[in-house]
This record gives sequence, structure tokens and C-alpha cells, in this order.
Amino acid sequence: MSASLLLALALSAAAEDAQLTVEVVVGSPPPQVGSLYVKGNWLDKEFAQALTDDGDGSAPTGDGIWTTTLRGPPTRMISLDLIATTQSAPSQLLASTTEPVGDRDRITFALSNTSPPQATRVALARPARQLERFETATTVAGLGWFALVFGYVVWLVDGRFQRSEPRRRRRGDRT
Amino acid sequence: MLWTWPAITGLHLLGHHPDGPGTAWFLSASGRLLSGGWLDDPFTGWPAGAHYGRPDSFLQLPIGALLGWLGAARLLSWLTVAGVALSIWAAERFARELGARAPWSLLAGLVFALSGLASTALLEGYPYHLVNPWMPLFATAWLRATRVGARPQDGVWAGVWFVLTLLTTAWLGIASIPIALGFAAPALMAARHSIDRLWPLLAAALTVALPGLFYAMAFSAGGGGGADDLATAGFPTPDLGLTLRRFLPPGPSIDLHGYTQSAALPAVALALTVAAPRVLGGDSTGWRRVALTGAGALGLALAPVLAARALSPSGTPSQDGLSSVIIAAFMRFPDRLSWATLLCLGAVGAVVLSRLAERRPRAAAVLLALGLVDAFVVPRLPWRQRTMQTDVPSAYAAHSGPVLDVWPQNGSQAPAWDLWTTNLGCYYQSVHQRPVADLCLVSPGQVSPRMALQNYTVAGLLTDQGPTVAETLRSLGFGSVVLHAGLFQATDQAHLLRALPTLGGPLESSTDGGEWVVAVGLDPPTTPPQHADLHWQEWLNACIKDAALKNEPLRQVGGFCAPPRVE
Repeated sequence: MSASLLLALALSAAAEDAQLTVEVVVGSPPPQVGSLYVKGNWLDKEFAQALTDDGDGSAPTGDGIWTTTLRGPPTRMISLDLIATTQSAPSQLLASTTEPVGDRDRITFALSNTSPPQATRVALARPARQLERFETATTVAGLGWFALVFGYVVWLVDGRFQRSEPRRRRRGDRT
Repeated sequence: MLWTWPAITGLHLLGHHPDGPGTAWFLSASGRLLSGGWLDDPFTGWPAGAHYGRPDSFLQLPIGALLGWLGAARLLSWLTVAGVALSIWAAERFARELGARAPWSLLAGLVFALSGLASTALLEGYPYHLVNPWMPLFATAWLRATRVGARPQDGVWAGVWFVLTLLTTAWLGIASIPIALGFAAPALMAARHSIDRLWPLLAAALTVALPGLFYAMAFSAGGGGGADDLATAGFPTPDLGLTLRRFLPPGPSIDLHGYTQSAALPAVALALTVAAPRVLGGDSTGWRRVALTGAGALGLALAPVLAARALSPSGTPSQDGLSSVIIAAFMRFPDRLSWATLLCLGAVGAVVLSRLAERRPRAAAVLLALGLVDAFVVPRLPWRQRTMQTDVPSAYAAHSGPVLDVWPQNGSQAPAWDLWTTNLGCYYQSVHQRPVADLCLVSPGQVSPRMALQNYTVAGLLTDQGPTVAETLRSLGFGSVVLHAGLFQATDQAHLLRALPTLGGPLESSTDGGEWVVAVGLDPPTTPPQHADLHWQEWLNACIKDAALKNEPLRQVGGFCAPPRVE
């Protein structure tokens, strides 16, 4: 049974190499951005795709998360340009980068509310303030985990020793 | 297997960062490094060759030499799985030496081998840090050697395991120093009254002396930068806030902005260690000094400046001295000292858990299960793992002789871009087996010939001097140039592809192996020319001065360095 499971997992790991999927995400672009698209190279093929907020990829429709999904043969890296159409410029280059990629990777950018917008790579498609709060929440959750475990151990240890005390009192009472 | 998934399949290179391909290359080159001159490699650093006197792990050399036939990527993956399993077993053994009982001793294995630091090594791509049963074995033997009634053989075994720890990687050797001092302190104090306590310690010292001397000599002769170069090589000493954050569970940005650096501490082991005085009471097994040693190591990790002063109390030794380099290296990653904390607190925690289980076995089982949360959920493994394909572009097989890889300089905002290009080029070499110009282990302060030659080639192609570039590269013995075309920006890519045929040789393009590369044959002379290292280094220095290696955009590469003539 465990050998079959291992074989199935190994075959699925091998099958992942047949086609690579990479999602490009921009979270909550500022209002001056009219549209977004990425263009670049996937191996020897050029690509140009528009990002949309219509639920492509993993994001639901209309949530302010703009996405597009790139697919192609296995590649280690892709080079891409993130380009915006703004009120002041029909084609504003926001970021130009080459990124190491793995299957189902997300390349996420955050855009500043400046003119022109500045793009930075981020881990989550959230506005900068939300991302800071998310990081803080992770830290707090970690401390909460410590507190939970410490509390359980204290309860366990106290419970262990509380059981032994009544026996001693009973011995004392007999004398 | 689950924690290191998908390493057991042997089908991928693993890691978020370029260290994985570089480690795979080292395993593949190990046989060559041992069979030629000591750690000399004529297949890298072409045309001058390379000497890798400061490998991070000497122990990988015999492993790679013996098992390299498995294939570098597969060997690295299986070594990872085996290493983690051995480390769990060894940490459990240490916990049982301290008084823990199975199955509760498993907690020590989880804490040590599936820790935040271990996850960092796995996700960064240097999993040989995880092939570490030696440190727990050293702690076990050293605990025995420093107890009353210890025999000299206990000291000898402790010395053997310490040497193997050091040869695995100097980082683990440094992390073992608190264990060596903390465990020995009672024995050293008791030695004033009973000289018998000293014999096992002396036996250990003698066992370590000769290999330690060899290590120091190899290190000093190995070349590479001194303390100042390390201090400016990236990863500056973290402040207390950053260090504390590293000891907490990693946040979502850690792989993108934190270079995967995490030293998350295990909550279960910490809590159990705090409860140890109440639960364990007396110290017949030595758990107090083990716990204090672990806490002391954590304190030093939190205050690296204090640790550095402790290592160098008399002031600043020579900048290139071994101790100076060790201190500079430690200051970049002080949290690695907490390997000792994990080992010690994991063992003490396992002893406490064993005692608690005598009366409350179900509650102890809950704690052991929570230990699995510390091991899997906190570092988010194996979900955070990233895979890379192992095959290489087939265009490398189109020509023979040494190959010059041409990558875009400053091609990415991704951290460590130069390390990506170096380590991928070296990993490709492990498969195509042709000499390359890259230095595959670059110590801070060293310059790679590939960088200088790459920029020379690009500058030449962009200024329509292809035939001159080709003649120069032929005179250096290169058999082909491989342009990593898919990674250049569009305008440079177009220009370079137009200019590539002017190098004169047959072209071969491929898009397999994870990249689009275009290789050009150069038809080098049959006997490669011999070059004096001195001339080669002077030319490299001149190219550096011409800003060929500084962070300048491609179009502004100044100078067109002409390599020294062959005499």
C-alpha cells in the first residue's frame, strides 16, 4: 500500500514537468492605471498577455486582484516586463525582470499610488499596509502558538503534581 | 520522506535559491577534485583552472567520489532523505543517553532534524547540512566523556564525531563549540580535585588535534577572501529585531525577501525544557548542564557581538587569520549557533516528555503530536519546497572542448543573480562534462574568469567585433560559446543573435533542458595553449578596472579588454 502510494506520488511529481504554469498577479492597482499586461520570453517564444480582474487563475472576479496565467514547456526562468496603460502614458514600463520559476509559481507585484506607479515584487497580492498587517499577524500567530503550547504544558505539569498532593495530605492526616 | 518531499523521487533539484545546483555540481566534481591535484580542478575556471581549497563540506568529497555515478541531482536528493533520517536517529540516541525513552525520544529527532534551521538548509539548497548525525553523536560521546567514571575511549569517540561534524561543514563545527565548552565545564572544575576527570578530555583533544591542524592548513592555503571580504559579501550581521523574527515562525515573504532564512524555535521542546526543573528534579543524568548549554548557545546567537568578543578577547587578530575569518563568517549567520540549542533542548524536552508519559501517556502523545506541528506546519514543509528540472540544454552536446557561457549581467531583480548564473552553469557542466570558465565555488573576494570573458564577449558582439572575439577565445582554448538567449532583454537579445554568426562557427539552438540557448562552435586548437596564471590574473584585474565586472548596465560596459597574448 505504501509502495503504491509512493509510486503514485512519484509519477505525479514526474508529470508536473510536462507543462509549466505560472501566474502573474498584481494586487489592487492604483486608479490611474487603466490596464495591465505582461510581455516577455518563454524560452524562444515571445508572449504578451493582459491581466484581468475577471477571476482568471486563483482569484475571484472583481476583488481587485489582476491576474493572468502563463503556460508553456518546462523552463527554469522567464523574463517579463510588466506594462501599464495610464492616463499620462499609453505604455508605461513598471517592472522588467527575469525570475526563476517552478510549476504553479506566482509572480506578484504591488503598485504604488504614485505617478508613474512603482512596481515591487511582493509575496502576496495585498496592498502594502495589508501585507504588513499580514506579516504582523503571522508573528502574533507564532507567539500565540508558543503561548498555547506553554499553557498546555503548565496545565499538564500542574495537574500532574496536584494529583500527588492530596495523597501527601492524606498521609499527614493519618498521623 | 514526507518532510523532504519530493527528494525521495530523485527527479528534481530542490530549493528556492541557486545553492542547490551548485551543491549538485560539487558532488559531481568530487571524484575529479580528489583524483587530480588536491582540490585542483582543470575543468572549471578555464583557461587557468581552479583550486577549491575552502569547500564548505570536505565530507561531501568522498561521498560524491563514491556515489557520483548515481547522477548529481539524484545523489543530492537521496542524500537529503538519508541525512535527515540519520540525524533523527542520532538525536534520539542522544536523548536516550540523557534518560528519554522511546517513543518519546522521537521528539528530540523532530526538534533537531526537522527544525527551522533544517528547513532553511533544505529550502536554500545546501542539504548536506542535514547529513548530520555527527553532532548528536558528538554530544552523546562528550556527555559520557565528561561524566564521573568516563574512560579515555569516550573522549576519543567524542573527538572522532567532532571532526566529522567539522568536516560536514564548518558551521556545524562552530555550533558544536558551545556543546564542547558547556558539557566540559563541570569536568574541568572537578579536575582540580580529581585528575582522572581530565583524561577523557585530553584524549578528545588529541583526537581532534591532527585533523584540526590539517583543516586549518587547508583553510589557510585554500585562497579566497579574508574577514573584510566576508563582511561585505552580503548577509550583514542581523540586528536583534531581525534575529528574534528569525526565531519565530516564518512569514509569507520569507522566501522572496528573507532568502528563506529561518531559525524558528520549537515551541514544544522549549516549553518542556522550561518545565524540566519541576518535572525532573534531580540531575543524575546531566540534563541541567545540557539545558544550560542549549540556552547559552541561544543567548550567543541572539547577541553575536558578545560571541565574537568571546572568540577574540584580545582584540583584532590578523584580517586573514583563521579566527578572524571564522568570526566574520559567524557574524553573518549567528542564528546557526542555535543548532546546539535545538539538539540540547530537544533532548531535555524528550526526557521531560518521557517522565510525563509515566502518568499521563495520552497527554504526552498530544505533546508529541504538537511536536509534529512544530516540524511540518510551522516551516510549512513540504508545501514551501520548490523544484527545478534536472536535464540540461541539448545544445551543449553539439560541440566539444571548453565552453564559455554568456549570461546577461544584472539580468534580474531576483536576489543573487550572479550566483544563479554561476551555479546553473556549473550544474550544466556536471552533465555535459566539458570544461567551463566559471569558478564553481567562489569565496568572497574572488573573481570568476567567466564574468570577465562573458562581458568581453558581449561587448565585442555588440560593437561588431565578432571575429576578434572568436580569435581571442580560440587562443584561450574555448570550443564554443553558449548564449543564454532567452534571458536577455529583447533589444540586446536581437542584437546578440544577429552578431553570433560572426564568431564563425556552426550554430546549434535548443529549447529543452529548461532554457533557450544558442551555441556557436569555435574550432579551437588541438592542444590548448598554456597560460601563466600571473598574466591571466593581471588581465582580469584590468577588466575589473574597466568596470566590466561592476554593476553597470550592459550598454555602458566600458573598455574592450584584450586578453594577454599567449607566449
